[in-house]
Amino acid sequence: MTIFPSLKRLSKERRINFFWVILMLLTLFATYIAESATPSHFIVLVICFTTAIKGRFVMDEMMGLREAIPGIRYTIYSYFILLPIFIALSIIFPEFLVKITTINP
Amino acid sequence: MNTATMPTDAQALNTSPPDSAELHKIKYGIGNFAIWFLIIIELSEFAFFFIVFLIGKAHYPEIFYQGPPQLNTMAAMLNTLLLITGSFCVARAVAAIRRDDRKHAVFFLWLTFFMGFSYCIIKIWEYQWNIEAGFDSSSNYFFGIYYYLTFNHFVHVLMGMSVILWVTIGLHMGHYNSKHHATLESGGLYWHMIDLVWLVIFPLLYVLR
Repeated sequence: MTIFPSLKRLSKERRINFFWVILMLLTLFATYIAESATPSHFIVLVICFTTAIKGRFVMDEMMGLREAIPGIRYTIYSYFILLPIFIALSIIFPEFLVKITTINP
Repeated sequence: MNTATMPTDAQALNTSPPDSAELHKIKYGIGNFAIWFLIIIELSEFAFFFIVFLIGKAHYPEIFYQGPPQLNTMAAMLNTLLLITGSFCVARAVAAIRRDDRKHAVFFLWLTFFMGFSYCIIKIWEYQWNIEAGFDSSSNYFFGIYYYLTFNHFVHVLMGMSVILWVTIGLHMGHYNSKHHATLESGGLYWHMIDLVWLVIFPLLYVLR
């Protein structure tokens, strides 16, 4: 799956330049949100989604993970899908995590 | 059977057995078994630390809520920008060597090393800033995990810089070209892994409350 299919026409170098700028902007956006907005579940979801997108851009455009064999590609893709989901869920529903990780409650 | 995919006699006669670089490309696409194994192990190790952090956060919400505002977010943001730029430079170096442009490949590899070095300087300054503010690894659970995670990542950056230095020297010595650059590519993959881990550390420790 390609997130920006129209960019396929660009040369490899130009694609790298483009995604570098996007990654920098996403980092500045996440930092701005963190410093200015009141903490909420919505902010947690936005930050986790931004993290997943940034990870995907680094894997696809910088690492060249699309060229790797499917077994490796999907293992590493899943890292940046499962981890942000787990982070969001554990912050939104901490009681459940406490319940399953408490010894002798 | 689809006859369009079958080689003609002439093609079959002209086909020489693939060399090791070609076999390697067929088997893994990019990188090799050793580097992918290492990357998956390293990512799993950090995933374990992230889970420990989240469990701590769930059990001690007050301490972990107060933690991020006590950290130097500006230093962390600068380090994120440096590591992303480092990844960009490695990607450009690999793209350059694939078209036999050694001059640009060397330039971008040295730039990557410089990004790593700058990261280390900012991280040391951040630790100094924390200590002056009265926060060390024994301050509370948040700072305990913060120091453990960030110092572990710092050590990985140092290893990544060594790898980048190694492949840069190799490139200076003419070891890589457009056909044979698997080691350079693997060194680059290791650097990207370090960047990927930081992309999770930054929001987890400094941003999310």
